Amino acid sequence: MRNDHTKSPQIVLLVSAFLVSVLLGIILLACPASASSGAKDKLIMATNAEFPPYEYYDGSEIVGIDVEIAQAIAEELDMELQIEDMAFDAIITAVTSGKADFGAAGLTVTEDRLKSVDFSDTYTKSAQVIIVKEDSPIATPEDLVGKKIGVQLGTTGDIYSADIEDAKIERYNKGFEAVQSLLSDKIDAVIIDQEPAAVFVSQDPGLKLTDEEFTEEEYALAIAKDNKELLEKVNTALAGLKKSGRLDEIKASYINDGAEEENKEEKEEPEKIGGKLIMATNAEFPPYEYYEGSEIVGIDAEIAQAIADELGMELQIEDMAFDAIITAVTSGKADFGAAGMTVTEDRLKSVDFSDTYTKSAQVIIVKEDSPIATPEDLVGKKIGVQLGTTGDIYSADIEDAKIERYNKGFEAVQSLLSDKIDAVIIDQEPATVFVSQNKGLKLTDEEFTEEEYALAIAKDNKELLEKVNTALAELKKSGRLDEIKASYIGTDDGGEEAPDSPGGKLIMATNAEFPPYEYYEGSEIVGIDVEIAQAVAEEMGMELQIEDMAFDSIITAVTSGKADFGAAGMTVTEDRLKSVDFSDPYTTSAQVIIVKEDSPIATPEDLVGKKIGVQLGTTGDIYAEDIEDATIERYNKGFEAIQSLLSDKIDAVVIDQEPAGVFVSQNKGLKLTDEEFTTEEYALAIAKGNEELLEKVNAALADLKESGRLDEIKAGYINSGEEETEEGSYGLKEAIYDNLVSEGRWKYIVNGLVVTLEITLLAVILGIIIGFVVAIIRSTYEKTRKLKFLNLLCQIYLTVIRGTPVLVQLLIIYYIIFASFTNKIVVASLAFGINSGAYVAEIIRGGILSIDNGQFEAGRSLGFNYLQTMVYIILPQALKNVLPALANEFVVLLKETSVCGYIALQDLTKGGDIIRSQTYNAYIPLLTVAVIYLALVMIFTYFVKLLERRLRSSERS
Amino acid sequence: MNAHKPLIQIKNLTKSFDQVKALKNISTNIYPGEVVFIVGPSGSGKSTFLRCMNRLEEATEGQVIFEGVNILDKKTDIDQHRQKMGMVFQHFNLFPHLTVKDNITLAPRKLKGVSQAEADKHAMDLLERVGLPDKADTYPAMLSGGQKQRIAIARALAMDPDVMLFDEPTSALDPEMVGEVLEIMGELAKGGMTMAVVTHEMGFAKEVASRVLFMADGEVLEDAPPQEFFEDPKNPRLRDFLSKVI
Repeated sequence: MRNDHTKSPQIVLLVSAFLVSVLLGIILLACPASASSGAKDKLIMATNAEFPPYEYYDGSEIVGIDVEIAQAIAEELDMELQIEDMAFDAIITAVTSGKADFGAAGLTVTEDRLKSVDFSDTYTKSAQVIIVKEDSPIATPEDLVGKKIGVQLGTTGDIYSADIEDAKIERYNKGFEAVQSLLSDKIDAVIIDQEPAAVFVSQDPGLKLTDEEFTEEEYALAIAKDNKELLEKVNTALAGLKKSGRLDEIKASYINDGAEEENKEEKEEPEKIGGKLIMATNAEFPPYEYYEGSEIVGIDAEIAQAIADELGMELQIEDMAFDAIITAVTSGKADFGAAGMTVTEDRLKSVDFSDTYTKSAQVIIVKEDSPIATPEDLVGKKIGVQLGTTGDIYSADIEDAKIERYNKGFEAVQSLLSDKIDAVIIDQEPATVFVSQNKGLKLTDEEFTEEEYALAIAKDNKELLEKVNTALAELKKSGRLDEIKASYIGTDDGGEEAPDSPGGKLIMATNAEFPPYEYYEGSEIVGIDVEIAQAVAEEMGMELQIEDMAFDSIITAVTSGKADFGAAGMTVTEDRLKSVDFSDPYTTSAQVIIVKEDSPIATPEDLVGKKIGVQLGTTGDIYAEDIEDATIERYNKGFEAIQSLLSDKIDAVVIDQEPAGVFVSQNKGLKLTDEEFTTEEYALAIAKGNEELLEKVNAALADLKESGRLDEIKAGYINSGEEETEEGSYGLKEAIYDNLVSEGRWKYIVNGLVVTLEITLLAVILGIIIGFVVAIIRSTYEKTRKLKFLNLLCQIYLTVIRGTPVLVQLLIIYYIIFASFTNKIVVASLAFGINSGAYVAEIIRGGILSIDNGQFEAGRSLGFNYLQTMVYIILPQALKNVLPALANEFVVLLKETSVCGYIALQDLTKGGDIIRSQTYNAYIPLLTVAVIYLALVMIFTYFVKLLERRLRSSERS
Repeated sequence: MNAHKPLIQIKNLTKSFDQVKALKNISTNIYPGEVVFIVGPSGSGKSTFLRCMNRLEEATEGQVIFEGVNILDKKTDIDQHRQKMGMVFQHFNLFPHLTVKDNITLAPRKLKGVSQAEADKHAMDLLERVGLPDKADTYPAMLSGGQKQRIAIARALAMDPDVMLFDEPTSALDPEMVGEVLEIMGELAKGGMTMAVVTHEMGFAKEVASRVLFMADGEVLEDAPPQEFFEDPKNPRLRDFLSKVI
């Protein structure tokens, strides 16, 4: 039932939120005459003008076969054609949403597309063909098996190529980018439409088409499903064009003259920095390269230094991720890469390698007592490697093995020590160091593979390659190379870093608004999930800590490590399995349909075309989407859906079985349909890779099932759910009693108020500090032109903070910047303080500017320095002037803190929400909360006025 | 006092605002106990000259050697030397958020570390000297212009300066209040305070000055004792100026 939409990672959501305003602005500027303005005579065509000869830019105009066909159709229809150029995969959406009347972009008719749009009669038959290099062995589609294939994102080639066995598909935004990759040997073949292929091949002498086509297909225009009228008109027009021979004329005129212009690629020469030799490395690979203090040392560094000396250049070392090194070299950011890098086929495609300077082996580290002795024993095991290293590449070939990729070698070793993996494949030398430093580890007798290390140099830089090889030869001959290596291998015994494990706490993420699985009883979260989690924690000897948050934040909390697991009546779905692992299911539930007593809806089939309420992100939400013609209303909370059903705003609610039982028993006039909507299983969500916890949880669950305790827990909740039955009409007194007094519900308000005040107070203090500092820096710059750099930083701060919503800032600070920090009050205070500081700064700066310069001169003439003058003379006066504006800012801040419920903080607003979810009463909790905010603001304003009057009285007689 | 060694040596002082030269190569000495008056038509550079002496205005070239140190040098800690150079402004520039007493005691307390009690006592003495002991606890907003300027003088004296700079101290006052301020300044001069005064009060200059400078177009055109300055002016522009103002 419940479920969250974590299809895209949280960061993407945040970033896109960030960009939305910018995008809106751009869109508004870019198309002042919006496409859907519905001008009568306009026929809007959606296309992607990067697909010659069907559509492409000629100067600033879009031309091509599709354009001419569309033009001819528009003429037949007596309408004006308007062309909208967009991404290929946006075309169908543009048509379905009505932004465009039809799509014409060399669109093949496919099954999938037919689900979204109708197609006109086909106007051309094309084939998907295969472009390869002249010397390629690929001749038929069968030869593509296991190859690297380039396609244009969203095209027919993209769709069909997915079926090629073992092939690696590279999706490019534009066809010519795929062709460029083919030319630079990054891919083996390009699958693309016949006509543009002909153009590409004619422009590049080194390319050819295979004799056999990849597939044949037909192009048609895409038209929105309900627009039968346009479909008919277009088909009529097309028939006319075909009959008159005009269609063939159009096509002929394009396909022959397509080859006029040759694409000239301009290669940017990497600029040679005077006398500097830049080495790219990844300094986490002892003894080849590692940090000693703040310096990078190691065999590679010394060899590079020796080479630089031979070349008479200055060596500069750039430390980067291992898998960024090759890119750095190819892009010219670095002259060469030296990072214990093995010569592999793949890498040779991108860079050249110098002569090898060392032979190494990939070896296998296992625990002392491990049965793994040879590489063959690795089959089916869990193997740790360092991301992007030779071990990573080769281990991918081990049958059935699960490869865990770590950013750093020592992390893999740590995982091995804690039994998360069975073996680590890593280079010989660091392996020796790791084994010597960690008791209980050994190397297997047989090595995993042998390899040779060399320096990576950009392909076109033959000069450097020769120089490096000469230098290496010198080093080898003189014996210096061996000396360097000898001095590193065997001398190392650095300190061990022990992974610190969090002490004894097991953090559960839930959404406590889902009885009987989890809900508030008084100020405590109780329910089936809680008891199960408690039992699991007991079995594991850990202390359970429950974090209440929005349902759709739970998965994120688990993946980001904020919580150890999620337990919230969560159904196992395909999508969720992409983000997290699930424990064994602990309960089987069903999605049921709640309707009003007198409703004609009796089976799921009756839901067709109805208005259906669901809880946002739950299983019901997902499945309800498949109901034909139904309107889905998504509520944040289940009880809100029930309230809507009661007030006839919707026809039915699809929700989990257990809470449904509670809802129906508590509200007169509701019933469940006899037939269930669907059945499902609940399980706990655990971060991927946390196999240890997963196993423990599963073991604990198995125990609970066996002992019968699981059933006890469930029975204890599902029967007692109907304790409270609300009477139809009761007075205001009873309502207030129920909402604010009974079961200590006032505690939500009081505790929430405390949280709100804490956050506000801390944020105000932080805001004042930041505000003062920024204001002083800014006005110092304005007065004296000093502090230029700090002033620039302040301006960036002001621009960013004042240009983005406080809620987005809060989420970014909580989920990204302080992802591993769990004290939410501190995080929220930081977020609001940093936000408020920007406004306070500008207010105070205004105050400083309002003070007469004579005051400043008087202070300085007495001998006060700049800062003293500010503090003793300017700021006291400035503050008095801006007090009203400052007070206003703090009033705004107090009210803004009400969004902190988004990070699951129980502030005043959230407290009211919790009561609302328990009593199904909107008025009392919301009005209570509103009155308290109002009272706070009034009290605060009163004191500010008093203060203002006192300060003013000093100045006036 | 060593009358031979100048307290302030001004050497080749030049100040330009963009293209306009406000001060052109001014050199003069001010000796301990001297009361130097600077007069001249408006726009002649008198105030700029005075403000260059304590670097409220940055001179373009030249030196101001005060007690042996060139205070125009960027390396000089100007704040230290300003403590020894009291300044009185045309518009008083009292601190409106502080009481009269606090206006006077702020600098000694914060800069010299004088205790509150000691600073208060000194402030009361100064208030006595300027004739306003009853105003100690009032705020500047409640004072008349003449009273404000007398407090401003007291504030500058509170740091025990070696020289007092007056920048048109009576120009912003109603005529009936000029007298009370000049009276204080006269007493100060009699008491041996070294003073540099920019003013339009010719009668007062004649009476109090040890020397009078006449400035026009950024240059000192006449530098003479008051007797000679007023009764036998050499420079034709000074003659012209005196004929207009007296």
